[in-house]
Amino acid sequence: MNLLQLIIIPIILFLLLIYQRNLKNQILTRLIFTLIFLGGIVITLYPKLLDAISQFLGISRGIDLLLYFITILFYFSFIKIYSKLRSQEKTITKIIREVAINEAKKMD
Amino acid sequence: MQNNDTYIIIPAYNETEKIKETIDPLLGKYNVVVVDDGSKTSVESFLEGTGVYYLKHLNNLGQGAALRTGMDFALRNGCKYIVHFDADGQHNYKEIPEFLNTLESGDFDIVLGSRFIERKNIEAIPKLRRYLLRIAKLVNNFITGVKLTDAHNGFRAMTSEAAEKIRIHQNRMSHATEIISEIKRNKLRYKEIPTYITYSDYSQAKGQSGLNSINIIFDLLIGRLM
Repeated sequence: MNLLQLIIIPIILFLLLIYQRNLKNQILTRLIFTLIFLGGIVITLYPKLLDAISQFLGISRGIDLLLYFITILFYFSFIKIYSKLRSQEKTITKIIREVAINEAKKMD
Repeated sequence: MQNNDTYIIIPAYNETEKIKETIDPLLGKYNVVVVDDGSKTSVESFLEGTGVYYLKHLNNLGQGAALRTGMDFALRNGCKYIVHFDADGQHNYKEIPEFLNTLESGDFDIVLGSRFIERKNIEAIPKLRRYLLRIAKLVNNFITGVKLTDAHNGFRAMTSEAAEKIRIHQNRMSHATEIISEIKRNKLRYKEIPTYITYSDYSQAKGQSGLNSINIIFDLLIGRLM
C-alpha cells in the first residue's frame, strides 16, 4: 500500500460516515466544493504542481491522482444528490398524504 | 366486538368495478377506507352509495404510502383497530374476526396473516410465487431478524397504538419488510395466523412480477444505508 492509499482511504471512510448522518450539512458541502473549484483553477494554472503532489503521495502521474480524486468526488456527489432526492420524496409524500386526508369523502 | 372502531384500509390502484365485490361484505360491519393511490381511472365512481371513506393521492406513491395514509386517517378518527386488506379479492373477509379476536385478547399488538401455516393455504400458492416467498422469508429474517413463516403478506391487523408507532417510509412494496422491522424496533407483540389467499386471474394480472423482488431488496438495502 502506498502513502496515498494510507491517507486517502481513512479520510474517505470518515467523510462517508459524517455524510451519512449529516447529509443536509450545507456549509460543509459548500466548503468542500469551493475548495475543489479553487483547486481546479490552481492546477490548471500550475499543472506541474499536480505532478509534484502526486509524486509526493507515491503515484507516478498527476493525471492518475486526478482520476482517483474525480472518482471519489463522483461518489460523494452521487450520495449527496440521492439523499436530497429521498428527502424531497418524503416531503412530497407528506403533502400528498395531507391533501388526501383533508379531502376525504364519505361515499354516502 | 367494537366494530365501529375498526377501520379496514384498502389501498387501490387502477382497480376496476371488482372492488365492489371486495368491499361489499365489509359494509355496515366495519369502517372501510379506500385509498386511491393516484389511479389513472378513478375508482370513486364504483364506490357511490357504499358509505366507505374515499381518499385519493394526487400522484401514485405506492402501496406502502397508501396504507400509511389510510392509517393516519383512521387514527385521526379515533380508531381502535386497523386492518390492512387487499382490493383485488385475494383476502378472505371471513378471517377478519379472527384477526380482531386475537387483538381483543390483549396479548398482541399486531396480527400477521400467513400462507404457510396450514397445508391447504400453502398449496393454494402458485409454484413460482411460493418459491419466491421462501426466498423472501430468508431475506426478511436476515434483514429484520424477525422470524416469520410468511414475510410478505398484506393481510394484517393492529391496535391503534401499534399503528401510531409503525413508521412506513418505504412508499412502494418494500413497506412489507419495513413493517416487520418496525415490529422489532418497537418491540411489538406479534402473532401469525393462517390466511387463505385466493389467486385469481384478475389478481395475478394485477400482482407484482417476480422481478419486483429485486427492487424490494434494493430499496431495503439503500434504505438501511441512508
